[in-house]
Amino acid sequence: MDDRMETVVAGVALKNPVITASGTFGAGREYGELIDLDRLGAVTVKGVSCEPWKGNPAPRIAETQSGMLNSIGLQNPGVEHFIEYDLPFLRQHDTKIIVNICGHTLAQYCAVAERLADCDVDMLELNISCPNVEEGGLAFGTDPHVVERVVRAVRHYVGQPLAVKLSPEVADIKEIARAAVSGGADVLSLINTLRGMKIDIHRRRPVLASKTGGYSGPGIMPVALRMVYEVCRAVDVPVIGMGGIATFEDALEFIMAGAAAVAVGTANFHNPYATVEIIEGIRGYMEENNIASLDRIRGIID
Amino acid sequence: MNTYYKAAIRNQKELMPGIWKMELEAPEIAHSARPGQFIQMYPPDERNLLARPISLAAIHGESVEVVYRVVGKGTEQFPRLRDNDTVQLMGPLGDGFTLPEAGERSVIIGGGLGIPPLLELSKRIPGEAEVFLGYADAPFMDGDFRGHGRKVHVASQTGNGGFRGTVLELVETIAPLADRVYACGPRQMLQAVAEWAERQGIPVQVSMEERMACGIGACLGCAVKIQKPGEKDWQYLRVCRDGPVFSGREVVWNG
Ligand SMILES: Cc1cc2nc3c(=O)[nH]c(=O)nc-3n(C[C@H](O)[C@H](O)[C@H](O)COP(=O)(O)OP(=O)(O)OC[C@H]3O[C@@H](n4cnc5c(N)ncnc54)[C@H](O)[C@@H]3O)c2cc1C
Ligand SMILES: Cc1cc2nc3c(=O)[nH]c(=O)nc-3n(C[C@H](O)[C@H](O)[C@H](O)COP(=O)(O)O)c2cc1C
Ligand code: FES
Repeated sequence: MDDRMETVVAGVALKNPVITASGTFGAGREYGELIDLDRLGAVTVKGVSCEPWKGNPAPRIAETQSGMLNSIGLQNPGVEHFIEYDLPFLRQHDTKIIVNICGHTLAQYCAVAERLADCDVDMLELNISCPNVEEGGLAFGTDPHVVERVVRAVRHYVGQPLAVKLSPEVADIKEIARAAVSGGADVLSLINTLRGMKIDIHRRRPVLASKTGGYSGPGIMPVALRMVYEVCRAVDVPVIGMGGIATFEDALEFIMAGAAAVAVGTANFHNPYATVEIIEGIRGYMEENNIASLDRIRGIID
Repeated sequence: MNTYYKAAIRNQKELMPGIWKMELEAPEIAHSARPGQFIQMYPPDERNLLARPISLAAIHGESVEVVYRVVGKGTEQFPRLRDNDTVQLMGPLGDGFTLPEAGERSVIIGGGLGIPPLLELSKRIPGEAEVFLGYADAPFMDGDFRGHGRKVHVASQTGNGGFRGTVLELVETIAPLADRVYACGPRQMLQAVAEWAERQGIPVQVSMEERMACGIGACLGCAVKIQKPGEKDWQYLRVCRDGPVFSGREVVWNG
């Protein structure tokens, strides 16, 4: 019965289309105490860089209307720690592993990709929203020429299917999507967070120590859905859709907009069983409506 | 073992204007919880996405007690809950206090809403413990500490309840003998207590606060700067998983 939910993304067979969004689920260890990780289509781990990154000062979290802001700053203990400590843990589970990678320079991106090339990892996800220190701190992901160049360079070192994760903070998401695909992306995932801000009027200062942070959660879903829809129509590679998904209905909207699979992030904080409930909900919807395969509804919105 | 479920509310009452106590029927939490641990309480209004971290003030056989201050959009929803209403919880979370060795004397120092998280600790310390409580104005819960036979000293900004001044000024005045110090309260107070304990050469455990999203260690939202002995540099640890209790000596207070 599970078969009808099977979703193949760039040759990687997921038992269902529900994935965790990078940075919201660690490497699965903590949520694995509450839910059975074997139920998930895939786990996307927190961004991994070649050297450990310390991250930003606290407060790093602010609740907002319909969502939240985070300014974690890609804190992570580095790729060696990931390989030694997290990868063996995840491998004990019957789920696919997607490793989100980050870097401040092109060389750093290439180094992580190369280090992971021989590892037992199912897919890499290149986070191109990282500040690019070589070009004045602007994210790699905002200029189509830079995107294409970065993806092509990293592609050379990658041993697995490569997903490129797009930032929504661009003038034309379709243009960036096409640039990533022509650079060699096998999959696109979107969207990353939108930059936002919250001010504590009593203290008269921003809640986040970094002043601004990434906005995620239900509030961004209409934007994310529109972008996934546009990108699915602009390129031929599979798309992992995300941004505010909290229920199976939300997930189905993304699939109908054309997403091959979906990722669930902020919803895990509100309900640690969100992923499992979404999987059950999709299954129920398929049974009720006699849908034999998700392909029957995928991208039906024209 | 961490659990996520709805617990029924019992005996909610207002201890002081804006400060409430409620009992939560939560056997799974009560059975495994230790003093110093906390729970995530989800505001009933689904529009508040994030849970509120609240410490366990007391752990009974089948239930736990929390004491909270109404601060903002999330905590203001809790007083409306009536007996038998349920609230979504996750917990117990974090690492609690380490109890003293037999024969050691403890000093417990609490400030404001940092006082309730020390109550269960005070009950469970097998040996001698002296309790110092600091308030803005009128004291609350001091009777609960006296109730299990502790000697309690009260300080407040207004002099209400005895000593006028900070709780640390009171500690310095009385100069208790201690092998271990436990503290919970505003960050400034914790820093002052940690520095005092350091000067006395007494190990101190402090319970820290930070804004949280997941509450279980997955998102790295609740960072606190910690420098472990023997390590060259500080690192950000997670209040929710690596804490909330840390050695006062290891916290990097400035910066
Ligand atoms: C480990 C731990 C234990 C705590 N124990 C207690 C307790 O026993 N009793 C008690 O009254 N309070 C306790 N607090 C503080 C309590 O979590 C906050 O007062 C509460 O989250 C405020 O929520 P709000 O919706 O009313 O405020 P809002 O300002 O509307 O909250 C907005 C967001 O900021 C967060 N936030 C605001 N203040 C704090 C804070 N001081 N610490 C962490 N997050 C905050 C909220 O959780 C929420 O996500 C504890 C905090 C931590 C980290
Ligand atoms: C706390 C937090 C940390 C995140 N860390 C990363 C990260 O390391 N790498 C990345 O590509 N995206 C990261 N993201 C973005 C999410 O993966 C996701 O793209 C975004 O939050 C939108 O989905 P959501 O609304 O379901 O959370 C993070 C998001 C949050 C909330
Ligand atoms: S709140 Fe997510 S790691 Fe502590």
